[in-house]
Amino acid sequence: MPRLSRFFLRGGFICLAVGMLAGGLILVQKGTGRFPFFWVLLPAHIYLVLVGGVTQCALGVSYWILPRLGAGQGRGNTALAWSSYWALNTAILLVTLHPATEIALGAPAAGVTFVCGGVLQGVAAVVFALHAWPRIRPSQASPR
Amino acid sequence: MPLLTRYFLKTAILYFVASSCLGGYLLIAVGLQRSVPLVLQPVYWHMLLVGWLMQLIFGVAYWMFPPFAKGQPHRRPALAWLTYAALNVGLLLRVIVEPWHGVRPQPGLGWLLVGSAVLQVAAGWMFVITIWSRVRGRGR
Repeated sequence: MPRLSRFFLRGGFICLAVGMLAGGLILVQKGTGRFPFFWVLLPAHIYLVLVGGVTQCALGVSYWILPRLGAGQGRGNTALAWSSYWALNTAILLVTLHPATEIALGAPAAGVTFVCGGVLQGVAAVVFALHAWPRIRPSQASPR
Repeated sequence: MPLLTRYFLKTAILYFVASSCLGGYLLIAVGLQRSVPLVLQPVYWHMLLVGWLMQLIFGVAYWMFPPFAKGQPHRRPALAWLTYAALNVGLLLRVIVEPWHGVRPQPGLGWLLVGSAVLQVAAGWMFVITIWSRVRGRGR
């Protein structure tokens, strides 16, 4: 398994574990009626599980198993894929820190974390697509 | 395909069918402008995302990731089975109790949701613990 896939997968599993913990706290609130402030974790719960967990695992496995480019080009432009990893994880960090930013610096600053997170998430998707696109092709050994 | 993966994938498919039927019902009800119990929406999303998608990912990861050692796919097989049990008991508890508690809230019933939360979170963490050592490069 290549290094970037290990980064994506381990990052994804950490997000999944933390995201499920946030969801569990919200469910505890539903069951007991106590701790209403747990609902502040809802955006982080959704984002960590879907983008941080599921998406990162999918990207990690894609980087690992998509056919390599022939003629010594390996997995192609790996810098693009690494850029996607860093952009996506910075976006996840910004969205996760949103509640803390709102408490510490107020709503306008917290809004900026969402805007920056959104831009970085889009950039991550575009650069990963640019990396993966040429690798989605028939394997050299298999018939067309 | 290992037995644990078959259990994960077949249960995932059952949740796919069940959640799609529930999602279809909700969509039809909205289309016909009938009132829909709001408590069914989180149940639908969690059946789809935890019961189907997450369970599919867990099952395939246990199958396809490099084995822990030669002839020993998992470091702790019992923990992997416990992940399956905790995830499904926790999710089933939620699917039954959440709408019930939403319509007729009772203190005792609410604590079952706490149990569901503990089981599902435990399943997620046990999955990460069991799979972590299998996320590795070649020759290690």
